[in-house]
Amino acid sequence: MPRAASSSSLPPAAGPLPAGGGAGMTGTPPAARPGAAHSGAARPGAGAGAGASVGSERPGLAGLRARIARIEGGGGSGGAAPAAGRVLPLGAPELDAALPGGGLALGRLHEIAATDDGAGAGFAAALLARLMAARAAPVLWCQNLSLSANAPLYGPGFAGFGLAPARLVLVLARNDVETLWVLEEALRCPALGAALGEVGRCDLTATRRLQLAAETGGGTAFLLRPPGAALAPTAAATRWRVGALPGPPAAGVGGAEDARWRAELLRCRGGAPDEWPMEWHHETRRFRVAAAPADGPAGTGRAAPAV
Amino acid sequence: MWLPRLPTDRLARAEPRRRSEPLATVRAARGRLCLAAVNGPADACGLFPGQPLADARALLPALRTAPDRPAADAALLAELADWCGRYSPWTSVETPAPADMAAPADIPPNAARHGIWLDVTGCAHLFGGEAALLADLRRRLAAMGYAVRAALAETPGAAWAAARHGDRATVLLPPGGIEAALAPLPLAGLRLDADALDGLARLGLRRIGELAALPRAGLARRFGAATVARLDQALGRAPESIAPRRPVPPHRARIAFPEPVGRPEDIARALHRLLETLCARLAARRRGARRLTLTLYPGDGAPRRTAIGTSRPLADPDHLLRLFAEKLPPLLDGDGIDAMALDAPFTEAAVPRQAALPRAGDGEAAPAADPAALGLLVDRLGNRLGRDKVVRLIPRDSHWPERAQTAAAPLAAPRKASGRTTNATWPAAGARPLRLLSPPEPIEAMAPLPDQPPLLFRWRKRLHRVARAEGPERLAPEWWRDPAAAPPAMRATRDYYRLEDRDGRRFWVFRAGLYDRPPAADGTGDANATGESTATGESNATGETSPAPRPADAPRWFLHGFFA
Repeated sequence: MPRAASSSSLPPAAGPLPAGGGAGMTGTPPAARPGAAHSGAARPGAGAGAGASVGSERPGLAGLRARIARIEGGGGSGGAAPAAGRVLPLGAPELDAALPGGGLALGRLHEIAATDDGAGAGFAAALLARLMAARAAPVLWCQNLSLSANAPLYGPGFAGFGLAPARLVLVLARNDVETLWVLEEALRCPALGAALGEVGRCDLTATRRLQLAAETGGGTAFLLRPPGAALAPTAAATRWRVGALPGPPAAGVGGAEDARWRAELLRCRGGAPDEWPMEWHHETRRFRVAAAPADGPAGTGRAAPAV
Repeated sequence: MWLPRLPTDRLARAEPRRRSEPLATVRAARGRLCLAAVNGPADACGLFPGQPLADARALLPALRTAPDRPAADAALLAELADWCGRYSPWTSVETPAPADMAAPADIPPNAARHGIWLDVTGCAHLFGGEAALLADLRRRLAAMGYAVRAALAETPGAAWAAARHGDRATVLLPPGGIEAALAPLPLAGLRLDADALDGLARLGLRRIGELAALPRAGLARRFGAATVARLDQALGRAPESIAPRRPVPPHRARIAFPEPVGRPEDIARALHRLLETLCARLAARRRGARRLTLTLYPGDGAPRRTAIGTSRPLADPDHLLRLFAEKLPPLLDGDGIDAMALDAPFTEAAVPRQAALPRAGDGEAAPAADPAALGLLVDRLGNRLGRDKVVRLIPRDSHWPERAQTAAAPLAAPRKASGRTTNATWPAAGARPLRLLSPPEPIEAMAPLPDQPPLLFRWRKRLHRVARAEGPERLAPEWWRDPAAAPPAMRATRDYYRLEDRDGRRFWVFRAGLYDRPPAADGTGDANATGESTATGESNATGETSPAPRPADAPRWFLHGFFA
């Protein structure tokens, strides 16, 4: 059974890397590369000593990061800092610069913790829309009926995000267990570009399985956590917390230009946490960092109706 | 095939140790208890069905009795007919004659009960010939504890007669030799009614051969057309049709094991062989399976069935095997399997599709990337979660929010129910929420003036102060749809507003009904709710903490969705 075989290799092998795979873009000196890869493969526990010797040659932080990435990263994909073709740029320079490799790593697990129903769904829809445009593959959204039975996805809204509902396979799962199963099956399928599941509770093991499945099939996994979900440690490459962001007083509400969030990058393998006020531009399907984060409500508390 | 002692065999199977004791089932008939069925030892002591219980007890004081349970017998017979599906997909339970049904208090003649038809045309060679098939059938049923008599003949009538009245437990009537074989059998083998039998007996006719030798015209006149018809059916001069118990699938593959098989890997391998056989046959006819039924025949007991469905016509053994992988394990506990059959009750023409040319920017095209892999995934998910749980959203020509989308099969081309390709499109960006509450949830909202968005609203006990608002967008209900299907508040004209609260959350709310004519709550419809409204001042007065009773005609607000 393929499942049994893959779970037996569950501790991610820090093993033999393809020569030069993934190391090129991090700026590690060529001389240091084979040694670092070798020691990482032989004795992961002795990484600190070897890292110090590498770091003494150069500013070192990048090299150290690359080595950690290689140790942490999955077997075949060549480290957590993905190759240039394996990332999804978000379209905003500030965001892409903060992410290793210049974008969201494809073939990985990403976690989106929503503090607000609409914001979480919107951010996820925007990511999937970008991904759908980049990879021309259908995506799967697994709705968890135990979390959102009375608030189903609404095709007209998704279409507005550029996420063609015709290429969105919608699966209705009854609970977290079924959702995780659906995600795992979907990620093993090479025909799908990405799979997203609304998951209330999940643990490290479940997310590792998803990570492995994503590496097998090549799709990208997204976990959408509902507001209030307990955020236990997961194997996700990035974890976002997305909430609503009040817009500038002059703009309309819910208009074409007006999807915006406060996005916190809580955790990022190979990158640093950060936080941005973020906007989504429907026409170009790009994220933007919002110009001026609106602080608090508009002065009067209510603007005149715009229409 | 005839099971002469089915009721007592059924009881004896529950208590194998007492098989050799005389046993009879008893039922009340004509005001007294009579034997309905007897087992072998009781038969040897001279007991017979229909005998009064008192007489039987006089003959055999040690007789054990049990109540006659025709329903249990019928269920067992049906199960056995299913079991016989290992020999042929065409099985049928012999139904009792209508006369027995009309007077259930009478004990029907034993010969009329507990028969199973099998049409083994074209099946016998799979078992090494007709004689081997009969022997196998008898051996297996005997091992299960059933007395059985079976006959195989060219006509159902001849088989019936030979099974009941033949000189051996299994009789194989040679082709073309029906008349000679039936001639020495008693007339009771012709399935005649009692009156006809009596009449024939009075004429001194005992054997089928004697009857067949008589002139037909006189026979029909004296004993009715039914007698002649039965004779003709037995001799193959008239057709007789019997409806099979289950519809016979047009495509079937089967496999039998010399020894019972229990290991899941072996079953899976055998299933793969069956799939290969069936798929090759389907592919030769350019068809693909939409539905497959797998039947496992354990050595003893009822067959176990499972079924899978596919999203499009398929003739790919590996794909289909993966679909069965989920379904097989629960079937495998219990006894070993000694035969398997795979049916395709529902197939469709599978036209090899030309690969679609990629068109730039064609976002609405059906998924083109690797349909085989995607189809496999969709089938796997659908078989586990349910076919309606794996869908795709397609637009519908309606401005009413609840009706603007519908679910379709994920791989089908976008079509309407009428078969025409749908031309509905999605609305522009930003105009509709990402999630739609269904049903809309009532909120307490406060609007300062008629036809203005609310200043604040309370949803699920939480107060939201509106920072910005946009609207209204007025949507009138679709009056041409069934108006009684929804509650009155849900079929009134709606004024939609897009609201953003001070935290930046964005909501889609609507007010049901026009401001001065809210929908009536008692179901009379909004046309009747006329008159001047004083709701404005009152709803202002109740203010933020407004669980106070509202006037009946106050505007009703609902939350319907969330924007990003």
